[in-house]
Amino acid sequence: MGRLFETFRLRMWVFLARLLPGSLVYWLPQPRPFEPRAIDQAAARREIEAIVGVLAPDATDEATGHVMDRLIDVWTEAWVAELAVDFQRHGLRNARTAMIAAALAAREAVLNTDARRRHDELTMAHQAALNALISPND
Amino acid sequence: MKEQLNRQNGSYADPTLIAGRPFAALVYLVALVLAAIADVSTFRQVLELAMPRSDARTVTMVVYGFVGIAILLMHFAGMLMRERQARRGWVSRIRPWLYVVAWFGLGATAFYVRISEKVKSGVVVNGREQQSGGLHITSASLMFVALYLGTGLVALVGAYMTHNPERGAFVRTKWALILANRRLASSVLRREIAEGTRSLYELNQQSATAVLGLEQARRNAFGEALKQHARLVIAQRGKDPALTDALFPDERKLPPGTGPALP
Repeated sequence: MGRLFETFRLRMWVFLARLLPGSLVYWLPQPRPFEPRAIDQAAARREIEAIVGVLAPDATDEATGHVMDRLIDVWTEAWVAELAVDFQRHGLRNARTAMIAAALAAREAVLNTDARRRHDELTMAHQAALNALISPND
Repeated sequence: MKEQLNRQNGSYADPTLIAGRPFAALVYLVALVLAAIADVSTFRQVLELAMPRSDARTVTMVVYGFVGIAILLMHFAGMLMRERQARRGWVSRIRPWLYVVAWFGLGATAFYVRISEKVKSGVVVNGREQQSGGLHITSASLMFVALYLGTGLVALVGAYMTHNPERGAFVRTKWALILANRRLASSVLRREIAEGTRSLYELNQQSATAVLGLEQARRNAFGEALKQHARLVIAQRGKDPALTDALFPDERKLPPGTGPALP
């Protein structure tokens, strides 16, 4: 459902960008910050305590301190993988809107060139008219 | 002094016009409108005589057209006279007078229609009232002539006095420049906002990459902390100093800045 809504939202922005490109410049949505899913640290600690509780004290000694390390490494790899997934999703979620923002910026740059050229031409024309009104041409 | 010279040699140059048209131009316009209104009334009488079978709407349209043409002809004449004085090569000596002649012909035609109006004689023959023909110059027809001449003169002199294409060009370009300025300002605003938004998205992506690195380091650190926590729990459950000592190396023996090497 969320994905469907996301697709609809992106399509809506593209549609509006085509329909009202000038106005859309002013109300293009702010980019979403990257906020990855948080790790449930308390749950991880509880899990460790539960597993060690099964082992200790009878199944542990001075040489078995590393017994949980491999498991914790796997967990860490999973958390980092989740992070990478979240990062990719975030990039994709912003990509379309970022593309629209870049397209609008390019469009405005072109229009600005036109507006500036028109302004420069009219400045020259006005200066010529002013000169003609100030000084006789014969 | 230079301006006076320009006015004398007929040039359109007049820097004072930058401040706007003189008050006389407004007076001319008001006088012309009033004269045109009077002309409409007198022309209506003439055209009602000339077009007895036409309906009122048609007569009204023709009257306005007639008055408009009459005023425009004299306006053109005055304008061309001024152009000629400005030594514009394209205006010949005879050209303004052609417009005056056309205007005169228009007025003479209307005047003829006005004075050739048939007047009821009051004599009834065979049940019909007789009408007398011929030309009848009445005070109303003379008033028509006076108004026509007056309107023509107002249009001619007014156009002569106020016509200045250089000022027209100045005003036109001034407003066009003002409009272009506003459009440029709006365009700059939109461009800056669009460019800023684009940069914001780029910054956001850079920030996300930085957050990714930091989060990755945090998760790795939390993994190490969990390992430490596991050893603590083992030590707690073992309740044996030798075991605790074996699980946690003496950190005082480690070089500063390095973390403990977990066994």
